[in-house]
Amino acid sequence: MKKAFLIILGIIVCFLIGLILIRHTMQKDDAVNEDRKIALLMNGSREDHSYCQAQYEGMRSYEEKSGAVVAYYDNVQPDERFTTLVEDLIKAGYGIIVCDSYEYDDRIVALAEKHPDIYFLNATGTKTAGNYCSYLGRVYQVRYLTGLVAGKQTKTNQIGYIIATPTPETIRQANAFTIGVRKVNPDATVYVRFTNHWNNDKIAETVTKKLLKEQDIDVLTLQTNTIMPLKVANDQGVYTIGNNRDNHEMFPDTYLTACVFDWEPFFEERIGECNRNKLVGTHYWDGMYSGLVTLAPMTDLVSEETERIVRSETNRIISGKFDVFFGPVSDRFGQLRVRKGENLPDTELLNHMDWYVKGVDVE
Amino acid sequence: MTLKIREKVNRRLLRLLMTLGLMLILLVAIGIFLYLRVDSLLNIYLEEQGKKQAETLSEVTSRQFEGELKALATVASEFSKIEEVSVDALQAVQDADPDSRIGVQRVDGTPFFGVSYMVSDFPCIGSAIHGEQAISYLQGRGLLFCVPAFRDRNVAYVLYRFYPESTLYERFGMSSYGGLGRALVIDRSGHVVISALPEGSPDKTLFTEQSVVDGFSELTRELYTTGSAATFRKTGDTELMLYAAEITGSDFYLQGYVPKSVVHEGVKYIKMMVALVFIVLAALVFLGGFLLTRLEIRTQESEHLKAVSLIEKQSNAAKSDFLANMSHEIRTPINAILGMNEMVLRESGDEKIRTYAGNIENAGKNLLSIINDILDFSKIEAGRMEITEAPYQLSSVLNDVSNMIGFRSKSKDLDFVVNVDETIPDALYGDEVRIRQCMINLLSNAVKYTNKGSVTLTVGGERVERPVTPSDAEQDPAKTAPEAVTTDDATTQDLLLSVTVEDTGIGIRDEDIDKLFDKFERVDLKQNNTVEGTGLGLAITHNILQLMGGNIRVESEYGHGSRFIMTLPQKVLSDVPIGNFRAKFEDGTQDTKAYRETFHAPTAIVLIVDDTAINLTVIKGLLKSTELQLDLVTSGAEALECAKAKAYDLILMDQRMPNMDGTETMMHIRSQLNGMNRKTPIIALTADAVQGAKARYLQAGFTDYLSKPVEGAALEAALMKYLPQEKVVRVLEKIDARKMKTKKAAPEPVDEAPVSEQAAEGPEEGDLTEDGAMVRKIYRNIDELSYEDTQEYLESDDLILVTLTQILEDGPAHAKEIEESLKAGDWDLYTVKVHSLKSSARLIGATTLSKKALALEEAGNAIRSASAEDEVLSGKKEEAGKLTAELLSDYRTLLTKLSSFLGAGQAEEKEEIDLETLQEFYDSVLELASVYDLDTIDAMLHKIEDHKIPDAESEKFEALKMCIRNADWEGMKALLS
Repeated sequence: MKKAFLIILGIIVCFLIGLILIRHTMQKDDAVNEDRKIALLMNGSREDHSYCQAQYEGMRSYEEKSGAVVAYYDNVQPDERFTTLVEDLIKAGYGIIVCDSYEYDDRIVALAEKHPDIYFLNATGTKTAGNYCSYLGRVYQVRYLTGLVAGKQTKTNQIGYIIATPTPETIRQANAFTIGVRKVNPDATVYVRFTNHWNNDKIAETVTKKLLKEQDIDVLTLQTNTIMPLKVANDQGVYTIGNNRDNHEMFPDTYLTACVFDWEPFFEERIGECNRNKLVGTHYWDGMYSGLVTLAPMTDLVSEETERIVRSETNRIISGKFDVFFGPVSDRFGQLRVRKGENLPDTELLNHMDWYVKGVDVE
Repeated sequence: MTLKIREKVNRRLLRLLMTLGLMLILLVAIGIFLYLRVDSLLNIYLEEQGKKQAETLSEVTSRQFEGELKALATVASEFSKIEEVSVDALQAVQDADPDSRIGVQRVDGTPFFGVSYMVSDFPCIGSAIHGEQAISYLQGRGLLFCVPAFRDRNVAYVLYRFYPESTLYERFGMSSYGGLGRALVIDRSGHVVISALPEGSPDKTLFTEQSVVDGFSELTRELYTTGSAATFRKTGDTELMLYAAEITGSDFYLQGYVPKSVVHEGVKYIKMMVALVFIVLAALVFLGGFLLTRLEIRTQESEHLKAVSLIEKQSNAAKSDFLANMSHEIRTPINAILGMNEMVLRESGDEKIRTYAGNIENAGKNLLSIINDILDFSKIEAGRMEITEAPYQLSSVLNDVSNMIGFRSKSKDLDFVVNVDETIPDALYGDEVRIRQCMINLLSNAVKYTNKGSVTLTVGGERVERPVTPSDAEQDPAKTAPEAVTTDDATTQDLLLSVTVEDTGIGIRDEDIDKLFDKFERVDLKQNNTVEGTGLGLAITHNILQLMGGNIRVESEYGHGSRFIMTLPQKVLSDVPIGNFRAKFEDGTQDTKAYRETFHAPTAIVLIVDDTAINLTVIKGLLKSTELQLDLVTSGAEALECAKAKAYDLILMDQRMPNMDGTETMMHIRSQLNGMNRKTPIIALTADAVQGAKARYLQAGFTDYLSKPVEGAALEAALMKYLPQEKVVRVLEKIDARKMKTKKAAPEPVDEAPVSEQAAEGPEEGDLTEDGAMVRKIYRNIDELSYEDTQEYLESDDLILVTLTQILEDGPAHAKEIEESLKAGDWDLYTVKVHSLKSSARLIGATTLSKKALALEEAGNAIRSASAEDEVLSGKKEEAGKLTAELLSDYRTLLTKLSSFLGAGQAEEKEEIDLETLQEFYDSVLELASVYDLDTIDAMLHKIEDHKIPDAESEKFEALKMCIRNADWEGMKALLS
């Protein structure tokens, strides 16, 4: 009798477990909003007052706002060490790997393929995958605005532009800057010089000093992660236009404005998508309208007239009526690259910008 | 017992019912859970279906959108090929679809064909400027599809197709579930892009219902993490399934609903089916449980019944055993009483004493008959009553009965009339004993309950035909006799014997007649409470008659008398009529008490084997007058020795003996090589009153069987029957002639010629005989013995003396046997030995000793019947050992004391020891005592005891003996130094 009851009880228990399991497996299909651990890997110092610091500050601010777990690694070399670090992080349970350099691109693609349930985000990257999203702002639009400022500010019509390495991105920005300069000052020339190192202060210093010595430059801007060129220029009383981060406090006597990033809203959106498994492995290239890239407030060194021009051009760009590379655009050899009434499509801007616009002096 | 079981069963039943109830509740709970689960699972399934529907619809919309863009891109690619855009071509495209507006605008926003749209209104324009295809919706305006038109690698124009809001439904509207569901497309801000119904439709959708709005906002939240979602919502009377999905490649969402009844249609049958199956299963499980429970209860009940019937059986068996044991216990003393009484009757010439003895005999026989009644009844109860059929003579039965009842009725001054139909046959075949018993029962009752008038016995018969059965020949060996009735046909004639007993007694009330044959029923108790009896008589009679195929009925008139008519069929062996049965027994009826001895056989030699000396004494006494030569032995082994040495005319063999029992001894005698007694009749003597005993003994090979309260008459009859007739001298001597028979000391050998009568006449009235004086002396001096007690069993002093002497003789060996059997753990032998000590001690009035022996006999029996695993067994054994030591000590003390009185007599024959030797012995003992060598002392003592101790030393010697026996070293030294 007892046995029979036990058997019946067993059957009932199995039955109930079965019912609950069925429910469970069905629920498993539903996506879960999980809080993944985040790692931010930077190719420079988090205190570079520039690109890396902007990334770092954006992420810090997201971290404080959301309470997410974030690990920070700076000066991560884009070699085997990067891959090893990422593998270790994945092993340690990090679900979102955020990077800040196109130098990591190929390694990220390989890692993304190997770890399909890990999400990879990379600023300045150009490649994508299902779980790898690359992005940057349309910095060229802001560069155009700083160009307007520089063009108005220069008296010598000689403007310096220190670049780490020539890439479509840096060339595009230099071109946009030059277009801005020449919009308000058709006689001005932009002297573009390369340091070939994103973070090397010494070389940046040498290159900058050399440029300033050779040319009568009175406004200088840059695209390196080190701000050494600005320091050199500031020391010599040359106006400075910053990049990535607003450093006007450091150079109160020479600082005009800067292109700056506000990464926090962008991080929030992308990381949210990762946590909901909704990230689209695409390339984001948000313009000024998104707020990712903006112009830092212009200092008192900038004239009101210039500010007005800048404001008006900003509105044109944001409304979509105008963009920097609307034709006509000619290269430095005089060849018409974009006819009037035409525009360079994004594919050209992103991948094929290997020429300099008219007004650029490059060695 | 039954009540307890009932209670137990009820409790279990209650528990089982509770379990069943719990199971039912559990089943219902599970059923509800199952239903809800199935419902929720089905809902989930339906939701999945809803999601699929949503995905499908979104896919459709997405494809439509893609198609639009593709078509535009095709047109745009044409622009890239020709340097100048052909307005005509564009017009042609526009004309093909007048509902929408085709247009081309430049990158700077200036229109090229049609109107131009602002990037701020339609962000898709901006996308197109940057080379991407895109779709934008502006509420109140419509839907714009844009593609870039390239020249070389640069974007030159933006080509678009615009659908005003009013045309959207017609172009992209969709329905689901065969028109039963509604679906629409919204943008990210929640504005309806494509409505669910055409503009101006009289139908209304439920999209604006609050619960639906809530449902969709929940779904939108869900879409945040998934591609599609569905849920159920109730609005008003209808339950709806809501579903939503992203439209891939755009910022739009699809939302839709369908009445649950539509999607639910097939599903509700599944639910019903599941519920039905579950109900059936639950019913089956419950039914199974119920049946199982019932089965369980039944099993338990039957187990209880079994237990009860087992208990009943056991108690029945216990009762039977008890009755059998009781009969044994009672019969043994009665044996002694009646035996001794018989001797008193035979040997006492004093009329007064003979009267007393006669009374004792009556009372004893009454007691026996009561015990027999109880035994019979227990046999009937146990279904073990057996009818043993044999040829017999009816006249003999009638003679016995009428003699017996005639005597009784005479004592009550009743007329006893016997009417026997002289034509009925005399030689019949049946159970004589039982028939006699029945008749005596009826007649005794009649005498008992009749105070005045007469008791009439009428015997008649009627011939009835009966078919011959094969068993007749076996049952009826006499059939072949010449006078047997042989008929040609295969029938034979039975006699339906009818016996009527009529009295003029108190009669029986009508209402009591039915109760008459019930056990222990004695009707009209008030009036009859002085009448003795067990009340079993009629019940036994009734049962016996039924067993024999007969019947009994009663006619009675209260206050005037009763008539019992008993009829029973008996086989007829011979047609010779009974005639006047009295004539045949004329001699026997004249004076029953005048003739005692029936034979003398001085030349016959008989061996009597019994382990209890007292029994031998009794039998010897009973047979004294027959002048038989008797050899008395107390064990099977001795009997075998005797049987080798001598040819006996008859052997009487006790059954229950240690080592070798009666049956075994008999078989050995029968199988002795060249044995002189292989053909000697051997009669079993046993107190074994258990039913079937006789048959068993006969089967075992005994010549006959005598039940152990041996009656003189039965013993003599048996002897007469089995002794060689040439050695038997039949005499019909009056007992009066022998009343002066001597009462000489007992251990007189029976085979000696009787001592002269004159010698016994010596003692004067009141004076004690020599024996008497000795007995008195013994009983005065030995505290353990009670003269009063012994007189209950042994009346004459000489008999007491004989018994005492016998016990003294056997005692030491007997004690040793008890001791050794205990040591050896031979509980069978031990019990037998203790049993005999119990009996003999009781006879001589050593009541305490007897009681102790009885206790140990019971203990021995308990140990014998206990299983080896019994935990208390060892305890019992230990206890028995302790008590036995005590018993033996008492026994030996008694023997020592006895020997100091009786031993002297024996010692007379011994040579008196000279004082010198005795002194030597004393010295040796003293010496040996100092080294504690008891064995040597014992051995020496044994030698000394072969001699008579001089009177002067007697006291000292006896004291020394006691010391030696008790290993009292100090005592020895004190005595001797």
